[in-house]
Amino acid sequence: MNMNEKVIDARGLVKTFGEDATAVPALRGVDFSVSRGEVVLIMGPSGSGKTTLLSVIGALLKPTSGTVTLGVTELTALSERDLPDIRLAHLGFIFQDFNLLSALTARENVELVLNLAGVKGEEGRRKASELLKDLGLGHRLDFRPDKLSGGEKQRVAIARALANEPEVLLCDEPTANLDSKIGHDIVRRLREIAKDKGKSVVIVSHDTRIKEHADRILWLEDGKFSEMSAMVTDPVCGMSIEKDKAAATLVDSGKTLYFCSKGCAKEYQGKL
Amino acid sequence: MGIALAWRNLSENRTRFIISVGGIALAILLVLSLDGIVAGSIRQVSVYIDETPFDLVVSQKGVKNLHMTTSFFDADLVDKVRRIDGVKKVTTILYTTDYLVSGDNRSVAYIIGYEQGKTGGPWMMDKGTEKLRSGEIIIDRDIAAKDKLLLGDRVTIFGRDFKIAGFTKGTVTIVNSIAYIRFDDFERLRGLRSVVSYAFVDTKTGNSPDAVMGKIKKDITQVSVQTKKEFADSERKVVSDMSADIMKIMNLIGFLIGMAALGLTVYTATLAKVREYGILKAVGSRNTWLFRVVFEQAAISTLAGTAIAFTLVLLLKAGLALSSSNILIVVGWDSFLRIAAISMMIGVMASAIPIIKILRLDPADVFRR
Repeated sequence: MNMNEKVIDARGLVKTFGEDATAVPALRGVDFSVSRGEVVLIMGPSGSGKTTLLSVIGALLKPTSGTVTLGVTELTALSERDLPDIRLAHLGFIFQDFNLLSALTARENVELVLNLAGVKGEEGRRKASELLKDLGLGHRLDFRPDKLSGGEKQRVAIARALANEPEVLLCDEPTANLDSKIGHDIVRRLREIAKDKGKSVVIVSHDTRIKEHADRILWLEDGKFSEMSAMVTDPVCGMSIEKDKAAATLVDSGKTLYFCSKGCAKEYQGKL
Repeated sequence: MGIALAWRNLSENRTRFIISVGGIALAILLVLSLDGIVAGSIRQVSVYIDETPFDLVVSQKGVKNLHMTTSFFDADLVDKVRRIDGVKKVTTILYTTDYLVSGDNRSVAYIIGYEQGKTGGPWMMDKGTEKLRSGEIIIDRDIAAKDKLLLGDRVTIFGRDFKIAGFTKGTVTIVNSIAYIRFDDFERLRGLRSVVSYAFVDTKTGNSPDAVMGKIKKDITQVSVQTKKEFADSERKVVSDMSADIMKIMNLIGFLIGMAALGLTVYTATLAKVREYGILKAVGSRNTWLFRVVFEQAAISTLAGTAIAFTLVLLLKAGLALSSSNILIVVGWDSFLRIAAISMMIGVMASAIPIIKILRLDPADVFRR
């Protein structure tokens, strides 16, 4: 397994919604690549273009300009007809809201994706069960999503994303609806999957607690990547902010603190 | 076999599924029962012809049935018919349509003047006698029950009172009932002499009715001759032609109700799962696979509704048979197949809007919350 091999390579991605006077730029010339086995965390404020970037990389949305290459296949050159097969075979999706099919059991949710790829019957059932057992859900195979906890649902979603052995997992706020401990566990599992199975994992998140699991952290703001080295964390709200754009700064015990807003700075002063 | 997503989606919310299938079943039941009632009524219309044993019927030239017609021809021609090679037996009746009057109650009846003990009289007596004396009449028991008439009571036909000597059963149809009087009473009261309305012909064993009919047509050109089946078909056609437009309208109403119920079922089932269809699109499902799920939902709902409707109509049919109702429901395989085909067509049409909705679904929406 060549861990330096680029699995996703995006060049000059521009995405603009609307036209002329109503045009809203979401991506402004983004270059982005992910290597095999790498975990990349993309952070940034709301409306910065994170979800748009994930949609474009995931072949769900065509960019206005620029290219996305998956292995040797240029996704942006493919027709709409070809994209479902690419998504089914090469990309795995994990969502904030889990997005499991409510009428199906945990096993069936995974099995259905296998069925779509032509793995049916006993083989589909066996493979779905194995994936779920690997994620510690052997005792929950026949439970429907409404009977599962948030962490269990997300693990089913991970199993579904892995079902067709994709090269890339695209995760949109995978810990947002989970408590800290479980969120931690989910990201730890994603990292294990990346390292053990050689999957590339792209995570879009606001959650700074998962930074430690990422090989690389990117900051997206106003549709462009910024240097993460210039990022600091607001000690009150925990939000990541660019040093240069901090709304307020304070020096406490000789250490400079950066705040996202004057409110946070005041709150900090009140505690002193 | 893959996961039966269509069935799982429908059965997830059982209450909604039961209500939806119930709506479809009732709409199909409406179409089916109307169809069955009309088929039953049409079958009943020819009950006199069906139950009276004969091979051929001879009538006034150009007359093809009983309902709303008058047929009289010279009795001498009957003797000519008797002499035709292959004819075994000929019996005659006099026939007209008149009101059966009892106090303020009036009902339309075929009045049959028949020769005692011969073909053309009542075939199933309920009470009383079929051997009439002059001035006596046999009427249907259901008419008697409706008008509260008993044996020995009097009813008026041809402007004269007749004493009820017997009750038949099974002669009430959608258009009338049948009343029997003596042949000679009919002749006297109507002032007829040496004429008959219809002659029923039995053919000898080994002679084909069609061949005998050909000989009668060739030798006696003043009359019309038909087989029993042709005569019954003509009788039924008169009523089916009269009810055809009404049936078409009622079937159209049933069709529209069925389509609305099924359309709503499939649409709401799709709408409730629209986000999940988006998820499936995002993870790589093709539109054609999703369309199949929608079609399957429509097919399952339609088949379940149709099966329930057929069960209900058979129960209705059995219930009517046990009651004293004159309504006969006839549901044959042709009705079953025709209405099942119409139902499936409704199902396909009802899938159209949900399919358009799925087609327009943007898989990128799964990332929008």
